[in-house]
Amino acid sequence: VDSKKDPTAYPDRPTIIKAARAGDESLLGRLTEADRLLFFLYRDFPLAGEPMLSSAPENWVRKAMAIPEADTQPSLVRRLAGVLTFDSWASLPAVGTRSSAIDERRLRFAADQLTLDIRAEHHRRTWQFTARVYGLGADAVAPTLVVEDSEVFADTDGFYHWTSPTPPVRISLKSPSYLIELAEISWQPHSHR
Amino acid sequence: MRTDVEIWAEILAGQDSAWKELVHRYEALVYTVASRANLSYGDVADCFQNTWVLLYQNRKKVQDPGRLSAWLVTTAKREALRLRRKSQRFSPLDDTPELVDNGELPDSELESLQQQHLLEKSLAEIDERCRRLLQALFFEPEKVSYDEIARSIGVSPNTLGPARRRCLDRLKKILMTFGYPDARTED
Repeated sequence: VDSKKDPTAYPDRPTIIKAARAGDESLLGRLTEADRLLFFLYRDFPLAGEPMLSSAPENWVRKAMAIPEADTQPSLVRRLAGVLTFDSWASLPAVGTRSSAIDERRLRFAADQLTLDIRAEHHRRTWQFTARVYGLGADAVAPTLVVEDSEVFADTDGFYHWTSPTPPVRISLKSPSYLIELAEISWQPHSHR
Repeated sequence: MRTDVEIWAEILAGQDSAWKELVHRYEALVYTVASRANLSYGDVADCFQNTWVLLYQNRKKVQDPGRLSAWLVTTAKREALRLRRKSQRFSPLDDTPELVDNGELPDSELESLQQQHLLEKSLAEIDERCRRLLQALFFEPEKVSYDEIARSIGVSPNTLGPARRRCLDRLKKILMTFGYPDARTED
């Protein structure tokens, strides 16, 4: 039955939805109990029919779930020192031939079973950083990188990205179970010759 | 299926599994608020994480655990605004994947998001057959007829009416468990 042609006919679904979204309750008295509920649902849930809400990246969710563990077990947090094991500036060429080389730097730190690789590139007066932690267990929560006083989280592929007008001296890695403080980083090329 | 109030009582009693259940229940809602706040990828992550940290830190101050979704949405919005104001000393790389659109976060949209989340989590609790039927009702284009819905979920058009009523009743019960007021269907 086409309710548009016969106003006394029982309203079809599009008519019910249209009335619900318009807040027109004139149909209510004629609806079955189920259709009354459908009417109220469409009236009260205006986003019904929109794309479903997206889940957060899995490692973000795991980290949020681990908040109570971090909060209740502070004494179990291990403090470790991250040791510099590689620095591309340590082998810079002689003064006068290294201008392009100082625009890029690779650093590697090690602590316990973890390795942190950092790549720094300098251009347009800005330092761009990419970092990655290796040696995490398959189910381990990606640690947070603390760069000076700002936190940087791993993206879905496990990479950390940030930019800064000045390169950082202090970097640490923290998770609910450990805190790794890296050796302070000097950004004076001459000190590495 | 447990109510937020029941889960919250266990969180206050120190049960970490209840906290995980709550995060699982609301992570998509918090993430959606954060990702629609015109923040960088890193700030979306901060906003998401800080919201949960703030909830946990203030867990003993929450007066009405039946309104946790509203608390989370409001806190995520405030945190997003704070992050927007924060110094831009650290900024994401240009090629960092953006999760954001340019929209603002008006309260009406936040309320709609809460409602959508309530509907989605209720649908997630219902049995598969009912879920397929109700999703066809709610998420298919409006022009789809009941006969087409019946065909799409593999039932006879004659049985669709009773099935729809039964499923809507189940959905109503679940919605009420999550806080959808019964009075709305009676007004």
